Amino acid sequence: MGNSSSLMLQDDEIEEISKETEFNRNQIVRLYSRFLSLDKKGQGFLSRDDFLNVPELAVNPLGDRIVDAFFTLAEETNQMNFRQFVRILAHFQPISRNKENNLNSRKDKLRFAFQMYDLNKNGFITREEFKVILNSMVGANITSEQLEKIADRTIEEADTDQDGKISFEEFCKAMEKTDIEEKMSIRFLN
Amino acid sequence: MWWLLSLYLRTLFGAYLIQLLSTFIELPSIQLSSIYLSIVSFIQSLYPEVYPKSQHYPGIREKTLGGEFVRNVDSSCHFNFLADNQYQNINAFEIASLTFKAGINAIDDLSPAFDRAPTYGESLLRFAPLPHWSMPLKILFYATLVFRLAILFPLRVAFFISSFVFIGILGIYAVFTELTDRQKTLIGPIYGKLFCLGTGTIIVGHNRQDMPRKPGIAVSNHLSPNDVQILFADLRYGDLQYVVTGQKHKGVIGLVEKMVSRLCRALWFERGNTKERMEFLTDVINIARADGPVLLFPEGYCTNNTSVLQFRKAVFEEDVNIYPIAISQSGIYGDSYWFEDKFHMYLLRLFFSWAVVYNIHYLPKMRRLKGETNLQFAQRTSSTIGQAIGLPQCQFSGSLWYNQSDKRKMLNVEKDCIAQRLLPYLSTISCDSEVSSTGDTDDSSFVNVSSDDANISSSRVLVSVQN
Repeated sequence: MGNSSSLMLQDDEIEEISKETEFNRNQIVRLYSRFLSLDKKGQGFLSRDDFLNVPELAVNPLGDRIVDAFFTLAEETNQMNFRQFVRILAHFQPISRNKENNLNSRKDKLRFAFQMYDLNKNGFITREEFKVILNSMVGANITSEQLEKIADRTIEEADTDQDGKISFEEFCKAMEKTDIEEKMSIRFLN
Repeated sequence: MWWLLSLYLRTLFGAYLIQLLSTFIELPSIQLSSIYLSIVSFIQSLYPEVYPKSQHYPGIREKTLGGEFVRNVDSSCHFNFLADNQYQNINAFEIASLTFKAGINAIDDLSPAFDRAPTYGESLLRFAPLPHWSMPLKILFYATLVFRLAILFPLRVAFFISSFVFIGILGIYAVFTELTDRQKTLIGPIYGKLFCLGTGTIIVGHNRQDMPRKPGIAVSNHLSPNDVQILFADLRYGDLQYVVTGQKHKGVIGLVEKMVSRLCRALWFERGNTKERMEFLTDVINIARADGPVLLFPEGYCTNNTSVLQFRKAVFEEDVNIYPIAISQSGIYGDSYWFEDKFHMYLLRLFFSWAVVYNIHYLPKMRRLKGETNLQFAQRTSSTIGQAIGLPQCQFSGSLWYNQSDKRKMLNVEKDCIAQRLLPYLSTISCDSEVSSTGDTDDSSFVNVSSDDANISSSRVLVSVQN
């Protein structure tokens, strides 16, 4: 009854998560409470459907990709437990200035974004892959010719070694001027 | 042993009488219920808190601009970041990133309104103690559990049945005799009060001088199907009665609706049927201009009282008096929001709860201003209601949560918005392109990208998602 089930999160677990992710205790309790309410069937883990039932995610053109990226990162096919859920959201914490190899470093945020475009997970974004992303973003509102042009141009601009696909290094370079902090960070409540 | 049982039953009967009397003889009722509530909250305060206290509940993030989906006053939609000037020259990767971020933010937007209501502290509404409580706390918990099971539950059932018997007898009576208006204005509050005793509802009314009057429409935010009875319970005897409206239901609620329409003015409609809905609307407006007050819940859906959903705009017409009512509940004593699958499970939960505490704020009459559209007036009203009880406005209507076709429509609107932003990018690519988007400086310009190449009519972006 009520949301008091958030107490089921044990203190030592909170501490561990807090070390791993830089979330503080209050934030973890909030996230846990959200996790429980997303878990409509009360299974203790989230499935793809649990995410796609969130209406604002269902109406996001990249909703499917987002959910996909979540499960790829969790290295699970259709189950995500609380630890994995928190780890993924940890990528969206403001960039940490203390440690370099954290979940929320600039490089890590870029890797997260990169993985979203790298559909077949081979370490490269190809023109075809990017077209798939573009296509789901605009639906039928742009002609396929226009879409091709945009995809071509985007890949060309980033493809410094001109092998027709974008590696992670090339991606980082292309995003050099981008304010990643602002585009890949969420201000979590205390 | 028998004397014990008889003592128990006598106690119950005594409590039934006391509650009945204190409700209908008005003065002491307020004191009794407030004493009861302060005892409950004192016991609750002995237990550890469960949630960090802050005004943002049940949020996980700060609601910042950028990356979120926004509904404009003119009911067009767009991603906030698309209208922002600082994102003038962003590439396709960056647009995708922002869309992505909007998706992550989405986890924390509309859906929390349909969870069970949040409580910061331990509500003691559970049926087993938590393992880490100390022994005295556990014993105290069991004492409260016995009280809920042995005293509260039977009393609630008794009152609930009483309310049905009362309305049932009158319903049969009304078949043979036409009830006078005076009689009807008595029945409403009496039935409402019995029903509230049955569901354990305690009403705290504020600014009763602003209670709705004829002619007009009373609009309230919506928590549960019991809101109607609760608002009726707060009416003065013989004063006025609401014209109740609602969707046709089956089962227990359907039965109540049938009885209600015998005893007061009621308009039921089928939500799925467009023609019926239009007729219903005309009826409501006609009554609202001459008579009433019609009682409406323009959110269309119940929420857990953490935000005010977008109002349906249809009834916010010219020359209609709107009487806003803001309801807030204290979820710590029991949650009025119906999140169970079945209505009887919901009722059972109420029977076992400490109380359902409703603060009803009656707000001054509102009228549509000159030059104001229905939608603007509806939004002004909903924000007035939200401000009165400190709730944020939700950008979305509840149908986005329940209605698949609304989701599809909204998805297409979002895709349109992104396409609009990508097209100017296309123009910077190829010089031979006919697209010209140099004047892309003001906030709304993304809607007006005009070129032969960008063959998107602005009207499609301004698709009204609802109504």
